[in-house]
Amino acid sequence: MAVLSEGDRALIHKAFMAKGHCAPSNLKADIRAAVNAADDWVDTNAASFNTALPAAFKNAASASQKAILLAFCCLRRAGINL
Amino acid sequence: MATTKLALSIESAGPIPSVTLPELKSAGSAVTVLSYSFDSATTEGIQWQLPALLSYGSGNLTVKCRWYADTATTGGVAWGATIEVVTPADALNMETGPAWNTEALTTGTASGTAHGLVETSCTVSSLDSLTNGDVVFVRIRRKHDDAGDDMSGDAQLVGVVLEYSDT
Repeated sequence: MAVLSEGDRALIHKAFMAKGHCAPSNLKADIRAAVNAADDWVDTNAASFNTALPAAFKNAASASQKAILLAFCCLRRAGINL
Repeated sequence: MATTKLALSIESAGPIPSVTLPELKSAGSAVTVLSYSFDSATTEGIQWQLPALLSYGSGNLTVKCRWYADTATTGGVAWGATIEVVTPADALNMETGPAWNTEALTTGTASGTAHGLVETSCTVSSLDSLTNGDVVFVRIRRKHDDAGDDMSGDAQLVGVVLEYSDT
């Protein structure tokens, strides 16, 4: 699996700022660099995440469903209601 | 010689054709603060329609944007101000003719205080032969893609003050 496209990263950048999640001292470029780093990390560790999943889910779920699972866990850790 | 000052409220602003309208925000715990939320990744704008600009003498218009940062305490916002002028009896189709003049762009810096109010002045010198009593349209935009616009998050515009000389 490859990293997200420039367009997708820009979309994340825009949405993150629009939702008001930025730290006060961060500029636009700081947020964008973080988006790139986060996506790079996800791409680098995708195989490791897949390995960690229990077999029943791992063998049945699509890549999209696995990504949503990870996203839901992260969102809830951030205190966001699902 | 005196300076005429005209306050343009958020409530009297309207949309601009083909320009994204910023979201209207209502905030505050004791006093309601209304503002337009100008996005950091999309150029958004609003306009005012003044049926007659009174006591205008001559010279440039100073358009003062009063705003605060939604989340940031650092960084710049590029505010663009421009006008369009129509004189009664002009040979102009009011529904298709008006077009914006050259925009004046100024970068303002966010306050170091969270949600701190600042004022950024744009000097509008492209006046389209403005004379006293003309119909004047005023446009404000955040030019998110300007090099000086590096502030993350929304810029909350709470109002505009228009200043000009009466002589």
